[in-house]
Amino acid sequence: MQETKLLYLDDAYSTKCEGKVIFNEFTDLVVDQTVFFPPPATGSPMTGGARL
Amino acid sequence: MIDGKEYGIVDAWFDGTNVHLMSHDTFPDNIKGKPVYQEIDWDVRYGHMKFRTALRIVSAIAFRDLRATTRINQTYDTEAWIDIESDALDDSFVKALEAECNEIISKGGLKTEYVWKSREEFIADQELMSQVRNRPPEGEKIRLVRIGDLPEQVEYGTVVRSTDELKSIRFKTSLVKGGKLNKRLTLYVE
Repeated sequence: MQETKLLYLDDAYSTKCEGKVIFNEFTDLVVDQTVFFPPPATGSPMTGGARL
Repeated sequence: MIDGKEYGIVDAWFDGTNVHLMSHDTFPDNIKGKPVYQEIDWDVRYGHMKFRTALRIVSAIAFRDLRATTRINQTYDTEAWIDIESDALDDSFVKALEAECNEIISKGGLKTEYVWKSREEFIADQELMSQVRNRPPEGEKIRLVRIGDLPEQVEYGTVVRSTDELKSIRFKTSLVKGGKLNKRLTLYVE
C-alpha cells in the first residue's frame, strides 16, 4: 500500500488538509496524506473530523 | 458514498507506513480514491505540542547534566510524564531541573528547529548515539529537534515554534519511590 504522507512533519501548525482514501475497512480509514498526528509514544486520541 | 458526511476521528495510529484514522462510524464501501477533507482539533494538538516541547527541554537537560537517557514518555491532554534513566537522579537534581526549565522559559526567545540527519551522520555522532543507547531509530533519515543550545534529540512528534509559547513547567510528582516508576517525572505546562 502507498505510504501515508505525514504532513505534520513539515508543518505542525497545519490544521486542515485534503487527502484521498487508499484503504478503508469498517471504522478504519487510511489516506494518502494527513494532518492527524499519530503520537508514536502516546495513547491519547487526536480528535477531529474527516469529511468524505 | 455518503457525500458530505462527517466522521469524528476518535483515534489515529501509525503502523510504520500508514496512518489509520479510526471513527466510531463505519466508513462506506467503494470509497478508494475519494477525496477526504481532514481537520484536527487544534486545542488538543496544541496542548500536546506544548507538553512535547516541555518533555524535550527536560530530557535535553537530563542528558546534558547526567547523561540520562529518556526512551519512554507520554503526553496526555492535561499532563505528561517522562522516565529519566539515570542512577544519579535525585530530589535535588529534580528541583534544579524544574528551576532551569522555567528559567529557560522566562528568558524566552528560544526557537525550536527540526534537523534531519542521515543514518550515517547519526551513527557517527557519539552524543546522539549515547542518547539512544547505540540503537538508532529506523529509517535512512532521522529527525531531530534543536532547542536553543540544548543537545539535539530525536523527535518525530510536534513541538511549538518557540519557548515563548510556554509560560511554565511544573512538576506534579518527582520521584515515586520503588518499582519501575522511581525515575518518572509527571509534569504540567501552561
